[in-house]
Amino acid sequence: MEIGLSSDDIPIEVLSRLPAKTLLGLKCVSRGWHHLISDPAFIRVQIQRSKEAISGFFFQEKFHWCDADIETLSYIPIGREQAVVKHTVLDFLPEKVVIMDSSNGLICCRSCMPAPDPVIYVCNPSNKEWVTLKWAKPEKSKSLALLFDPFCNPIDTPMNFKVISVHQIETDTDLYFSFKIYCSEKGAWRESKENCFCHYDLFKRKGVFAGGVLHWLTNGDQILTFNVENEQCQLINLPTSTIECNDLPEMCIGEAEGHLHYIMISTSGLQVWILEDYSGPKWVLKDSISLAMMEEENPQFLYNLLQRTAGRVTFDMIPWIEPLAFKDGLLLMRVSSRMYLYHLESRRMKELCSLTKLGPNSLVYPTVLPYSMSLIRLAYP
Amino acid sequence: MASSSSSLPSPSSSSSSSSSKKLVLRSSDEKHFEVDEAVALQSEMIKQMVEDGFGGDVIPLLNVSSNILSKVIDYCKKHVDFDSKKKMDDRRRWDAEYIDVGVDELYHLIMAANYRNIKGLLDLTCQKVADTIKGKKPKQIRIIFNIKNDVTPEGEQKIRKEHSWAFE
Repeated sequence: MEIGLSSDDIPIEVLSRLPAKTLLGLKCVSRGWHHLISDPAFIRVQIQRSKEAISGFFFQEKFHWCDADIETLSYIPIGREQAVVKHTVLDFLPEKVVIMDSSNGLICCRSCMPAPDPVIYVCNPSNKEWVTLKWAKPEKSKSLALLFDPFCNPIDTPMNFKVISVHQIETDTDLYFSFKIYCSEKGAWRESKENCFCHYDLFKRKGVFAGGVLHWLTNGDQILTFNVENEQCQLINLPTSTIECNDLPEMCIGEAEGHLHYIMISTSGLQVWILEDYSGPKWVLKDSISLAMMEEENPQFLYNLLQRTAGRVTFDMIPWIEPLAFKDGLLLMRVSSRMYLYHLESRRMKELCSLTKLGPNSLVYPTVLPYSMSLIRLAYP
Repeated sequence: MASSSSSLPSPSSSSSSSSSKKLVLRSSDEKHFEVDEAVALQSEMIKQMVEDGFGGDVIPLLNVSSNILSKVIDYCKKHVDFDSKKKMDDRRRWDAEYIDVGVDELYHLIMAANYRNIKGLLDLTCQKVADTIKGKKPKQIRIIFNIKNDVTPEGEQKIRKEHSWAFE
């Protein structure tokens, strides 16, 4: 078969059915293949055709009470039996960065502060391409969400992304969130007319995009949502009140099959809720697994879970078990001083690495981004 | 040399009702195939030709040899059946068996599906090749697909280094 030499579109037809990671390896086959796999027209077809599976998680610690940025940044791959943590994946950028969000293969990050002229980067680690966004009023406390949805772009339009900056504003009488939107097509920021009055602050700062809507956990019992299409925001009540809860639950949000998922771990076990309808809102409890059951199913990793979880009586105490990120049925969680991947469907855990591999600092509320590889070219949109 | 339509290895169709309209296809080696219109219309290219009024004549398929054409017709016939019955499991099983062929035949099937624009067959054959590629080393792939290695060792080293973290 002369797949490498034929001038027709058969190599495109075949190779576009392979995942990005495989294709990166295939660049070595021949110059023709290398050229094809780097070609923006081919990449557009490939992105539309193959939904990429999660290849790993980006992880960066944050101080809980202190305002300084932490430079150490880790990538935890999940494919291999034993994860080899990488620390240099974003070193192609011109400076040290703080990761903010990931979306279908792209990473959004900002300059580590203090910096003389802080900027925002949107980059693709798989081909080391990036674009720099001007940042008029840089502020550490701003949460930045990245939106890159190759599946909604028609095949011939350029691949556009949006960055949404959320900022809490305090007036004499009130507190509200305001939203700024950067659109790569226009290359400029604009302010949304929409404001959201809310007395809570963002919790974990990481926005989650699901079904056209961005979501942020707040430190109240509500999720802040922002619909990117019509620019409407809404506060959604959590399925269960954490304030009335007897113990101190740990939670995270994530996306699977286009729906927002809310993961909570408390003495009553691991609960997975799906947000099915925003009016109401309607939450559906998808899974509820007791701590005893989790232990029984993963005896090599878990023991004394109930006692450990119940033993935490104030928020200052570091939780024994903590859900960190969720995407497509995979839950990244920390148990004691190790990181694990929990498959929601098989309910089995896999050990990824020890926390010592991820940096020496505070354990509390790290930024964790699920990542799937993409060939998208930022330099040639 | 050119065989007439009397020698046509008519695809052994027992089902084709005599009332349904037939089309005649001619392969590159001048063999004639009479098929039900519904079967032939699986090909977008033939559909277009019929819409343009070429349906009454023999439709020449210049790039497709008779042995590949008869295999392609097998596919189209079976899938006309499947489309009316909608049995996904049967279809998958039949497809898997159908596509279990050597690399050369696969390549000619892809060419035929691409040329005649038969989407289902193109998906099936291309996915099969993609699955063959998955998990193989560049060296093995060059052998299977008869690709000349024109990447220098330094070039290969550079590519590997560039994406080193991705290969973990």
